[in-house]
Amino acid sequence: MMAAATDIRGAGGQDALVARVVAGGDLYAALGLYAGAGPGARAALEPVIFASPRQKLITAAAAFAPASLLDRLAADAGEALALRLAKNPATPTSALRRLLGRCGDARMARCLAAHDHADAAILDELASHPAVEVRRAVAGNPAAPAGVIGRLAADDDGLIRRAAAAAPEADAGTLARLWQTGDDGVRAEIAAHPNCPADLLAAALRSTDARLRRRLASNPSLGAAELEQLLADPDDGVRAAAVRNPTVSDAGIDTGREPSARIRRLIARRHQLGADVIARLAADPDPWVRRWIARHPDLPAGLLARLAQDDDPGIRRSVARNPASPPDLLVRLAQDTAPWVQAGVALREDAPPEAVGALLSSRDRDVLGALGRNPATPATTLKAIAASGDADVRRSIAFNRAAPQAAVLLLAADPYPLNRAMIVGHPLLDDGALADLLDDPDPQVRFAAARRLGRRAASFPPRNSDGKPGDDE
Amino acid sequence: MKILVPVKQIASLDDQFEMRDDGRDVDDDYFEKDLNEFDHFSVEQALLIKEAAGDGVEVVVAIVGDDDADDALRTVLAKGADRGIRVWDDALAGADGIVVAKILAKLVEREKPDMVFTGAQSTDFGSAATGMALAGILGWPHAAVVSHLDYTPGAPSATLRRELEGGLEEVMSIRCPAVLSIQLGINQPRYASLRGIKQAKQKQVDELSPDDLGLGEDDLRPASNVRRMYVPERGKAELITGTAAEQAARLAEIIKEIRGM
Amino acid sequence: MSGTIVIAMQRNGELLTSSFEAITAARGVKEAGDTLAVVIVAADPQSLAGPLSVGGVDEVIAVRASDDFQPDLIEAVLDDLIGQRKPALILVPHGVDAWSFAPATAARNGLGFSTDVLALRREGGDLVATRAGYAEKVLMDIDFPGKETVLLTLRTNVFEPAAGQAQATVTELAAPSADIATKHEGWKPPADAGGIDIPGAEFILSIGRGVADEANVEQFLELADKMGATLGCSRPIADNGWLPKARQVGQSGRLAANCRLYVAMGVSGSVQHQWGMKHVENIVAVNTDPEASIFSIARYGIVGDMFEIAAELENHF
Repeated sequence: MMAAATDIRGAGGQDALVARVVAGGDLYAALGLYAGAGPGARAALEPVIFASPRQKLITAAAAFAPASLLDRLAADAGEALALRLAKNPATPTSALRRLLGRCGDARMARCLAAHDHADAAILDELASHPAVEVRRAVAGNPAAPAGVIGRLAADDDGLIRRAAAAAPEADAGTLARLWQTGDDGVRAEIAAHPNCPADLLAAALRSTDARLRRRLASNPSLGAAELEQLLADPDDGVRAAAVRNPTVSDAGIDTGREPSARIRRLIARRHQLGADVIARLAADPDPWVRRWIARHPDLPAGLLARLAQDDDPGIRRSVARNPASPPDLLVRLAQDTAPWVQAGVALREDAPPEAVGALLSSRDRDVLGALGRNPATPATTLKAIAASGDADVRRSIAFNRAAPQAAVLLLAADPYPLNRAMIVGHPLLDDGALADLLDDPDPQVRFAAARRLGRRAASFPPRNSDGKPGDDE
Repeated sequence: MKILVPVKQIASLDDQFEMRDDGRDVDDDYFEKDLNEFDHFSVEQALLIKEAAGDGVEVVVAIVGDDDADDALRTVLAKGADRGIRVWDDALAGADGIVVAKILAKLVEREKPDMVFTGAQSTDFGSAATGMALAGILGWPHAAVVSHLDYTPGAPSATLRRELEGGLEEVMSIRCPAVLSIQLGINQPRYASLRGIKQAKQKQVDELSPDDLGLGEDDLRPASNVRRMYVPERGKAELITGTAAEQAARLAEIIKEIRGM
Repeated sequence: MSGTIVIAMQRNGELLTSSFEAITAARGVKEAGDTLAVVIVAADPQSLAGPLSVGGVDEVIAVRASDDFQPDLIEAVLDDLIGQRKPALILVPHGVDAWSFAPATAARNGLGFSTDVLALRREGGDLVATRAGYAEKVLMDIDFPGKETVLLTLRTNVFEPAAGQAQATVTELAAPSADIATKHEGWKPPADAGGIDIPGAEFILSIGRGVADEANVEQFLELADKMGATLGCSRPIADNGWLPKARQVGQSGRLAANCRLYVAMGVSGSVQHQWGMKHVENIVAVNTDPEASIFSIARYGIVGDMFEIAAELENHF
């Protein structure tokens, strides 16, 4: 095994790796290598991948399968295989086009119409499909072009009209026509649409239907005057939607007069707030308002310190997660009585050594898990975490780019398969350990290990092999 | 002292699959095979007893299944079971829980275990039959859906809890040897270490046929026969359509209805 | 080889509703001239005989024993009845008690047998039962060729409970002598733990990768609080340190053991996650991807944006 490991950096290393995987006959390792392989290697890997109808079915449904392979499969796909391909989010446009020519039933056509990779031509063709669920899927596909949406807007089906009214590409003309023919639901979608014509925005603003005004209030193309009116709307839901509207300026928001805690909570979440508004919200009687404002990046040190002493641990946790919290405050919060607050400090890469030091003796799994991810945690602690009895705590090492190699290797031999799958991507995992994982009992580990080794082999042509680990990704 | 743990390899399907030509089962190509989830817990329970007692306890795992089932058997051997038995013959292709129980009863005669643990049910068919059918044939004490167990190897009785509907548990004592079907959550099943997986390849697995166990054709007839298999009309979620406001309104209704609000 | 016997189940002397559902199922496949008998084993079976005389029941067989569940005793009663009456059909509610005694009885007496039956009918005189397979992905129609007696356990909440007074005769039967190997020692009510209790929670609102950012998590804590739900999450959320590991549902995490309503928002539904919640009776999935695997196990699905749905939900609580 070590032979294979060192081989990948020498002459013919890639061939040796392919030969090894082909000899092993494992579908998942072969899939892992395929994406980065050249034409010769692909030809060698294909018989392994397509060894049985069952393996073809697995590949066709696998979101991690390389696009080129899915394209190959689409060339002569039977019904079951074709349906899996149509549902697979990784299937490329070219393959979808091949499938379009042979889609017998509506289910398959619906999957193609809903596919993220369906292009304008595919959607244009499917927009005339006799089955209503296919046309609905086209109308609901954000890639549907304006012309297609315009055609679908004339459909008898209410759900198609509604989807057309919400389609990002729907133009003002289509929206105006839909406004005339549609029901309340359609009009609500139009009111929220960035392309909604001004006269319809005005009509929606005058509407007595609060649901319509709510959707209107979320429209990013509203003017300041309209927003101001909506911010003073008697309906809570309308005011809530207006406060959430990213184009609302701070000036329009008046916390002093806002009776609803729910709306004040939403205000506290906004990014641009004036100092006086922030101060008022930090003293709000509602704990959720304080919890939100405690995360606000513009919160001054004095208010941070005050909220750090709040009785509610959720609020103290928010302070611990606030990027504006100064080092001395983090040191204090590291000694908080609530482990979840301590864990908030333990997650911070900018935590001062004194704060991290205060946490090292913790036995709480959330604190340990947070320390495990943190590059600021001392190597000895990381090694101890990699050897923890708690599988979820150990896994945190996989997310730590500064984890010492000893800890990384420990995780590569972890009994919990998910932990091995997660460590495969770690830059410090050496070729030998990766090669061992080609024989792992867990398919996702074999796949990830093969993919990684394949990339390394490809990035180490023999002439400039310097043996440095980990700089391939 | 010996504990016998019969396990099962289950078949699962994803969303797309096709029926076999005779319409009585799903086409083999669509199966994903795995060790039954419940069996992780029954095996763990046996291993915990073995570890607590020192080395005087042998854990024997048994499976009825073809070559593919070796994977499931090796999975539990890798966790620390001592040896395995696999029983198969093509005549067993249509075996149900009752037929499997008859085979297991013969294995109990052969192995003379002090306890038998099975999973409370299997995740593919959920028949919840095999373990208690085995007890019925043997005439052994039995309890289903065991969620807690106090048992010392060799003791004449054990105390257990049965998990009933709604989370209520009954505390029960039971005479041993007994057949217990083990519920999810009774313990924290371990994962096999990579070393354990390597060692499992060397462990003894006896391969037997029903004939070897003295079972004839008549004994292998299942208690029911599948006339046809088909996909139910309502196989998928009921889709709540409409605008976000309408969807949320319907969701709120559902929540309030189920919560009795 | 005629007649149907229903085994009525009681707990602490109170009849389970599923007993009445089994009576309805029995009546649905009863052939002309067949008798329908209901067996009840209890400390005071006479007092339960009246309530069981419903829905066309001809006879209540009252067996005086303990109210404690003793599989050995019920099996002995059944062995005797099968030997003496040779019933064509025995129906039992599919519950944890039935799991103990029904398979044992069927195996020992060589009966036709199936469990968790959803529907029952006759096709050309043959009894045909329907049950689900492959984790509810398929249904199968099954029959019992060559079996003189068939024992079936019936899924609960499928058949309507029987109603309408009947004129059943009551036969009192002495408890048979049986070697009772179990003893009831007491009850342990479901745990009522404080704090974050995923295993104990009846209503869980769960969030997944779709939440995208740590700050967004707060919004769902707030919503869960408002709706009276326990907030759960999928593995990546806990791995990121955005929620305590105690909230993680799944194989690496907790089992939603007592959950009746699980609303999954932005959870794709990995096998890992499904392990912890797929058994829940009412799963609602909210996801922008209509092909997310969570929809395959959900009872209700919403294809939509979790943030929009959450914002709208707030208007209702």
